Amino acid sequence: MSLAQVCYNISNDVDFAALWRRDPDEALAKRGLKLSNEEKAFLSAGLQGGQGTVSLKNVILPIYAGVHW
Amino acid sequence: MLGDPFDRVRLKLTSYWESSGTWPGFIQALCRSLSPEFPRSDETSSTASRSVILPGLCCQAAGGNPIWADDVTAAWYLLYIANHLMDSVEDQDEPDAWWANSGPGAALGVATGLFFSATHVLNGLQDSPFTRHAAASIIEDFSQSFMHMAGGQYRDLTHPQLTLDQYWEVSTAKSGVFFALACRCGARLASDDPQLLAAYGSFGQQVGTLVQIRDDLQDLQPPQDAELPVWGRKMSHSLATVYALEVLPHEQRERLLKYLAVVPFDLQAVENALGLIDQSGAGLYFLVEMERHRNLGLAALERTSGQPLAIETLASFLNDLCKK
Repeated sequence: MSLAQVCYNISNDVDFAALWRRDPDEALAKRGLKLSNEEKAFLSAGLQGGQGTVSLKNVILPIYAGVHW
Repeated sequence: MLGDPFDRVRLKLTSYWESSGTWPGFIQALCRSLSPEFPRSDETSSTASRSVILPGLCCQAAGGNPIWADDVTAAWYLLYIANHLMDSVEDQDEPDAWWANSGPGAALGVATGLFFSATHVLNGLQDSPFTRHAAASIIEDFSQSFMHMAGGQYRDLTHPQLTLDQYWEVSTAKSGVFFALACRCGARLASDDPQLLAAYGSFGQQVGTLVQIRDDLQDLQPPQDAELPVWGRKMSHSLATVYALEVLPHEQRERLLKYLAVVPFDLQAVENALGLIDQSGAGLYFLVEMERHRNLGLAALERTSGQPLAIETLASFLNDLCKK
């Protein structure tokens, strides 16, 4: 749940997102959230993959949902 | 991989069906259920077709000959198609072309034939000197795994709305267990080391979870008109929706639930629901989970210390699932 909650906060809370970019540990501590080092790494990779803005409707669906898997 | 396992599997199945004495029309239906999806490994094939390389590759990675895994591959593929048929009927999906006219009852009849064919193929493991040693444990593994999968499908069908934790449990039970089975049983032909088999199983589980995540994305796409009535439930159970319902504040969550209740029949509600899901950060969550399962899969492969070429091919298979 923490990972999901952090994704929500990064996408909806400007202050949290700005603090996350500077210091992820402090951002998490301020909201009372905890992530493992691995989860923090996955989150950074996810943010890089989406270049900071990750729209499901405009980015993810056109890329993945049309692919025949 | 040595040689072409696909032609060997095709020959084995058609030979069994012809020797069974069953009605020729039923054999034709069985063949049509597999064609044109009959295993091929090229880029244009579906997940089912490409995934048939998994048992042989895991056998090879664990030190065996990939040919030993032909029967496991055949049984696994038959069950893949049989499960797909069962799911299609249960979810009232648009039928595949071959059973559009004959209807869901005929499709279930073919699924039954495929289940029994898989059992026959698995029993054949006892006859070969290369597979006899592992036959009993592989047959038991198939049996237990299918009980898990059936339970996962039942849970998915009988829960009106899943929590995020429940989503991952169901996803693991439905898809993760099935792909874990393919990898673990392939490796089992070459090794009985429990830790090694657990690592191959863990790799397969991540593959299955990634397949499920990608399938879920398809469920966010509005379908053909004929499938609209059942689309609302699929959309409600997709990862992005379950995530959004978990993280959205109360007022937005209630709005999303209201939209989902009328989604199949109200295009504006579809737009509104997708908008709320999008705002919740579901896109980021999707990317993070893809990365997480890809890494877990690669870590599991590392634990196998398997044959390098086979491991490299397995890693490529996993990475391709995350490729944009």
